[in-house]
Amino acid sequence: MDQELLSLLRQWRDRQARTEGVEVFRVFPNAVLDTVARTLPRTRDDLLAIKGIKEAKYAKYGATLLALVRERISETESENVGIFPETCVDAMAVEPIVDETMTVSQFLDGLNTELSGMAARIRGEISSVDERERVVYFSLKDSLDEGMIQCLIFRYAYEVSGVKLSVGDEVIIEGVPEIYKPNGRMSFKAGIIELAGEGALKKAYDALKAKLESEGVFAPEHKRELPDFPKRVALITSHDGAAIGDFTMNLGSQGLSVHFFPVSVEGKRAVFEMVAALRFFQRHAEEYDMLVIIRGGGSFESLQAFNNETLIREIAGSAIPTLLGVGHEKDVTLAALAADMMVSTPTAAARTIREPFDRARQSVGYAQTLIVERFSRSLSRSDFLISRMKDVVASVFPKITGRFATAERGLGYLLEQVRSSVRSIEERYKDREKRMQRGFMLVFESCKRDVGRFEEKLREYDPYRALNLGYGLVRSQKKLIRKIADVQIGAHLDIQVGDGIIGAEVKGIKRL
Amino acid sequence: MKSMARTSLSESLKKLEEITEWFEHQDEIDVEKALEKVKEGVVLIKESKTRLKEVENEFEIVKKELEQE
Repeated sequence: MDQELLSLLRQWRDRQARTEGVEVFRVFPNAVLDTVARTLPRTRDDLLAIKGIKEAKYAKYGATLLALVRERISETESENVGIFPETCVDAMAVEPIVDETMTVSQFLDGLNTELSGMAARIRGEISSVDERERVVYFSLKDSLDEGMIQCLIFRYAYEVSGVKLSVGDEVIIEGVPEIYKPNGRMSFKAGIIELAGEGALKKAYDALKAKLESEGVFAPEHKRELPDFPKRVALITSHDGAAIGDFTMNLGSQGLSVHFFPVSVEGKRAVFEMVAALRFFQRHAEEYDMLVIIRGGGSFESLQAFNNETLIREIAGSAIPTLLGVGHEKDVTLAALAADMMVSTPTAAARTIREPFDRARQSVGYAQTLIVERFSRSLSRSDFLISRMKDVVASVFPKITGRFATAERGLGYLLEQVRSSVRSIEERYKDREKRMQRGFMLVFESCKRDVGRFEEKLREYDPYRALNLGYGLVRSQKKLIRKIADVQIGAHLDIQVGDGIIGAEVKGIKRL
Repeated sequence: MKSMARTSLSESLKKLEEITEWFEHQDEIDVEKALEKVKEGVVLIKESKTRLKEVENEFEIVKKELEQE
């Protein structure tokens, strides 16, 4: 593959895309350019044989592509004369393209090829606007002179530009002129439209701000907290200029991994490139903790890219928390308002990231000092307390033991007293016992004597003693008989004598 | 993994702050409790310091992938 040619093709393609205000693959994807660089097409048919090039593309870019290839081949020829004879022959075969007559279409193709090299930046006043679905047609005229040109811009580019065209606006457009083959009219194909003049810009700014505000794009409840200790940072800013230097210098050494996507931050390509960068990081959102966009201060006009609606929406919709450090004079940029956090300079952005790290280092250091100091202080304090307690114990202890001795002596004395009183009680008790015993014996003896006397008396009076002397007790039917009237003849009698009872019968009764 | 490391640093710092506050507001320090806190604190300080070590940032320029096919 001819690498040199490929790189030329890509350069041309990128330039063309920018001028047309479209993404590069809309002109030609890489694969097509690769095939061109490999097969070196020389004719219309060669080109149309390549996958991805059809009539429309050929009409638009075919001549340019063929010219680029031809130019390159003739270069290599002059470098390597005789080394690639085949190429030479082929090149010669294509040469006689210079013909006297040509078709209208051929002529227009030729013109368009020429015109595509005539990119321009034009300032003028909008005199008419016609917005269609895919294309916006408008005409641009000079406010003073008579000049006027028909223009068009594709919807995508129109929307990215963020300008709402209305008659009377002063604008600056960039693009290339082109002839529309079916009617032969020339119009200027704009890729970029910018409002011109501070007044118009301010008006557009206020209108967009009000619109986005009403949609809640800047609402505080949508703001996310930035992580305190990010590890992977996505950075979007310009490769040149002070911003990147200020940022890296103030970031300190935090072991961060910063992925830097260089873009233009001002001018015609700024919006395209920043949007592309944002979209790139969004595709890898999970790899980043924070997305930072920075730019040094500038005039209101120079910061227009940051008031672009497409860019603002991209920032507001970021899956990665966003931090904007964009300088400004009077009006803060709308992009900054849409970010999760905004600061006014790249330096401040760096410090925002750095500050938690510094604070953490400080508090860790403080904690270390404080803990060690307090702990050793508490240790030495306990040490002091212990040794003081030891002294106290040493001085107090003899007093305590002295008291113990006194108490012990007192206790012994008391004990002795108790003992002796117990003894005296004991003795008294023994004495009483003896006396009681003695008293009891006396009572007992006299009782015994009394009982003996009673016994004798009782014996004297005992009727049964008389029975032994010959007296008898006569009973009839268990009743004692005292008079003769107590019995009748024939009655049975029991006569008790000293040693028993005699049964008898009354035989006769005699009164005495 | 990286988010874990992140929260752990924030958490370590928070715990450390609690320990610091405990020491700050203790007139009579209970040596045994203090010893526990010191042990915990030392581990946290070590962890945080490792994470906060000053290491050069790595800068990598992302290739412009403007083309999306």
